[in-house]
Amino acid sequence: MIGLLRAEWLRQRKRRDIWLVALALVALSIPAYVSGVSNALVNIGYIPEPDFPPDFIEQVQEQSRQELLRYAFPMSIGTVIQNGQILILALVAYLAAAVTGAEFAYGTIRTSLVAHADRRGFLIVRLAAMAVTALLLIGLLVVLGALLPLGASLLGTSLPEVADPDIGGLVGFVAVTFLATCFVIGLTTLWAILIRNAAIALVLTIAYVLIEGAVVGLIVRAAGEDSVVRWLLPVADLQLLFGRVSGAQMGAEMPTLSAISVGIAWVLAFWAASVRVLARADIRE
Amino acid sequence: MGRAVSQAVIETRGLRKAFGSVLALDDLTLRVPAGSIFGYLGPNGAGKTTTIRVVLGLLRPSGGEAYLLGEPVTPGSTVLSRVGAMVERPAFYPYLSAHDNLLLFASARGLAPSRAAELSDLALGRVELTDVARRKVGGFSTGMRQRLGIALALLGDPPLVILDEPTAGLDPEGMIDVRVLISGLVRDGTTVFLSTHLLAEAEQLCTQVAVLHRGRMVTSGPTADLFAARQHLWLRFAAPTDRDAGIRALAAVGIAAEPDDALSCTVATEADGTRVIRYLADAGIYPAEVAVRRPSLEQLYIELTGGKGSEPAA
Repeated sequence: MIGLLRAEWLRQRKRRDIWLVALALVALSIPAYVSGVSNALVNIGYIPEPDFPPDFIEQVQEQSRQELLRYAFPMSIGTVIQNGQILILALVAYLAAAVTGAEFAYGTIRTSLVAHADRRGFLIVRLAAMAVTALLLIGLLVVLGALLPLGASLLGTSLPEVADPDIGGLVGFVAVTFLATCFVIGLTTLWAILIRNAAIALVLTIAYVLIEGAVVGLIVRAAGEDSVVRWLLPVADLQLLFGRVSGAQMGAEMPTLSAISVGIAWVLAFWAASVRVLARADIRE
Repeated sequence: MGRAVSQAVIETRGLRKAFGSVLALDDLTLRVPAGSIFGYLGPNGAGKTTTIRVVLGLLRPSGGEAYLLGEPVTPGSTVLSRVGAMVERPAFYPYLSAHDNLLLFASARGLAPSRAAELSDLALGRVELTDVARRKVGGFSTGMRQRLGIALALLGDPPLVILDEPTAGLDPEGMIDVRVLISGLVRDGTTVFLSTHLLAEAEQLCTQVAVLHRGRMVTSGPTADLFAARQHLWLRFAAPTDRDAGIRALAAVGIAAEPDDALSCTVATEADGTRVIRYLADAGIYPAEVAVRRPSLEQLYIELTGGKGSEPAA
């Protein structure tokens, strides 16, 4: 296993696209943060028409102050991750499709499995390595979220101090983002092994999310808004968890612990399915 | 290296592999003795690569059994780690250097980093790729990739090396180098299973051959025995009348001789050359020229396979 991990480390760290993905995350997160801070500052400084009721003006400015708090340390970490959430999931889906699809495109799956015949071990290490890569990407956003307020203050922007930071919420946000990336890795890898093509695997992952959305719509229509059934589906379940860590009042009928269990179960199911499919596959590449 | 000569390093019993309705391997029984260079011959699509893939656990057989170094093969068998193989055109990570590719696969086999690096350097040296070891494989020519594939198969001196068309894409000099390398491997006690359709190569290198046609074994055995069974005595006479008299004299003692042209004839394989000459001498007939002739592997191959290609297989 250690040897496989070493091989996987060498394989992944020399992939240029992984570094480009990391660079893209940084490059897109910084403007999003700068733009968010600028908007909040503009709103705080907003001078309304004189005939607006004073309590309305006060309400608008309080909202803007609250908005600005999201960009102050340590809440900035959650904000940067939240802004980069879709991006990180899309990039992880790309990596999962590219890394596994490339094995079939290059034919290196054959060479790899001749060098190390234990297919289960090979894929478990591959999935774990991708999860670690995803965790590192999330870590990059955490670091960025911590550094950007510092950069803003160095540039003369005064950010308010967060009196009572919701550290538990922040950790929850990081954990749910990681769970979502693990789900995306499992789903996309399964497609990549079944279809043996990176591009189609990526398209099928997107298609799955859309189809599940449609199914959720049907479930809601048939069983009503309060039905727990829809939260048993993976994407809906992850949306529920993201909602919970963001403080949104959604899916009240499903306890958080159950939602986490459902999410983990789906991750394990897709990972196990990927391993099983590869273990039984004929390698004709 | 002290391996028993009679031990089979590759053995298949009634091996079958079907891809949908296409039967790529049909009741294949094969035995590759240790210490040999075993030539696995057959036209394109005969099932050579399918056999190798089944034996290496890349394909699941539809029926029958395969054994490597005496152990049954299934996907994931640990015995596979003791086999070096190059299957079809070698596949490597194009964004990694030749050295890193070997290092990666050596690590995957569980070798410690220093040992993996040492063996990678050694293997690259054996195929004369040391100078380009740090270059990315993406920029390699077909011949260089082929050499790298052989280097990977030789990594760690496995007791069995399976090479699928190892000289494809090599220039004549490269082909000679690879053949010398293969001969050297066998001297060191390694068994080489060589799948090829280069008959001259097989004839030159292989101590044993098997011929596959449409997924079925046509013949198998020591290369010398295959030829011995098909060799014949060729006689040339000074005059057509001598030839006719010679054919009649041999027929009288029960030896069939077929006329080739006006002056020469061919005597069937089993006949003992010394006896033939003595019978002719007893009849007062002396051939001007006598030679033991054997078919080339190419002729033998065409004879066995009917000179036709196969249905496409994997």
